[in-house]
Amino acid sequence: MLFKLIKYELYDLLKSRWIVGIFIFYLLVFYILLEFGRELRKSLLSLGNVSLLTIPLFSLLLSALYAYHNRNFIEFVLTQPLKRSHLFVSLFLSLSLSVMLAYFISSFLVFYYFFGVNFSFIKFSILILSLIPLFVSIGMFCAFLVEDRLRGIGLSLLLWFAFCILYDTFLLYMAVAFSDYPIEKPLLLLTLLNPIDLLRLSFLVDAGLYEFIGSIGRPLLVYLKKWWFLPSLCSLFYTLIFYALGFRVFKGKDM
Amino acid sequence: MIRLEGVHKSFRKKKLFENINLEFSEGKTTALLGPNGSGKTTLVKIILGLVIPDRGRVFVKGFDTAKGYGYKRLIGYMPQVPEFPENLAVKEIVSMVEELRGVKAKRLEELLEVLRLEGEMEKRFGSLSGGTKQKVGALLALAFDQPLLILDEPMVGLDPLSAYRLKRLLLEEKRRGKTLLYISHIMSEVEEMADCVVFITEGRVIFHGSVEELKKTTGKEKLEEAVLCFLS
Repeated sequence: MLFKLIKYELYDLLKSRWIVGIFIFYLLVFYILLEFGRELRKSLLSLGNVSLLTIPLFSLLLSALYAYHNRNFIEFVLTQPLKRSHLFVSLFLSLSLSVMLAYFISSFLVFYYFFGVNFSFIKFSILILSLIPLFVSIGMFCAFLVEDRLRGIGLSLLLWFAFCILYDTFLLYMAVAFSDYPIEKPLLLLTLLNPIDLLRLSFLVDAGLYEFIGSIGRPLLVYLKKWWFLPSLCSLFYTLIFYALGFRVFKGKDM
Repeated sequence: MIRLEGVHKSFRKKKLFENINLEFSEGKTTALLGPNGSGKTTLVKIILGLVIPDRGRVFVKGFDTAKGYGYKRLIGYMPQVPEFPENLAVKEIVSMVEELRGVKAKRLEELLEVLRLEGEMEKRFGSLSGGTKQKVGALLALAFDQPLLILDEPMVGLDPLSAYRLKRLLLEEKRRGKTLLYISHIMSEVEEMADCVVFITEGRVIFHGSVEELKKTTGKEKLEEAVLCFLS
């Protein structure tokens, strides 16, 4: 049942303007970035910086808008003999897979054209792709929690802003305001809690730009070199939290 | 066929239903009437398991709806606003529902002809007009030959010919012994189709009986006038 639903939802999504738009956006942006900077490490850093801001935003907006726009379809599916949990999982997986496919295929095509296949790209893709299920689960959580479409989109944008921009600003403020105290460990812990911050550090490490990492990220250097998938694990942790919250809301929701 | 026992439902702090007890008999056609916002659609959604009651139980052909989803195999549902993934063609939507139900649509050819949907099967759902979307909703509600049909304002948005054809189709289903529960604001349609009427206002059932009984109770000859008595 689950796979049947995923098949149709994925088919619908892959033909949607959103997914086609995401595909074309990354194809163009990556082509331009790689055309101007043909050095592998720095190119990956540029691609990473663009992706860190846009992939969470696109995943979040697509999932929230899809859930709002298809509310009547979701209702109809729930009148069919199937479990609520199956519908929720299918929505989560088809939304995540569709964005992952659009992003991966477009970035792979451009990357292959300039550099061919190498491990750096595979590693980079795994790290970025792991952000997609996290922000899809946040988008779904907001859409099922808040009935009003505008407020729901607003809440999801606020969460995107908090993860991508506010958190980093907060850390910087902490570092400056409490610079006289031994706050390295708490800051390190806080950095570990945000997958976007971790990914940013990871890309800097890969690009060899150690001077940009700062005193907080320095202790992480060893770990990020050894366990390059640490940011993905952090994303997975948050994905599980938001998925569970979203499912809890959806299970008891009056449609 | 359908039994509601002591159903309570509140939305936030507003009580919508307080101790609703209702029974819809097998093989009968029941019209749910009431002013806008009286809770007709919510009542239907409670039966379908879309809205979860705060208290009380709902049984469909003896199945407790809170204890599983298997009873939904017995129901064909036509929503007020049918919406499906807009990039899927109508035939793909039919296939999807067939796969979800695990059975083939039994009367597809006949229904496509009656609803004049043969030429629409290849088209994207998103490209269809409102009326055609409504007909796709009717097609999916009727195609699996379920014994219970729940329809939420089925004629709204249809052109006169399509509305007439759908009405004939529903009368045929009634003749075949199906149980029909539908919401409508068109009194002539109710008079022609319904065996029973349930009138709801402010979350309370204020009348449950036949159309004739309703007329007798209110002392009016026309159903429209009888209903106006309740509304005023």
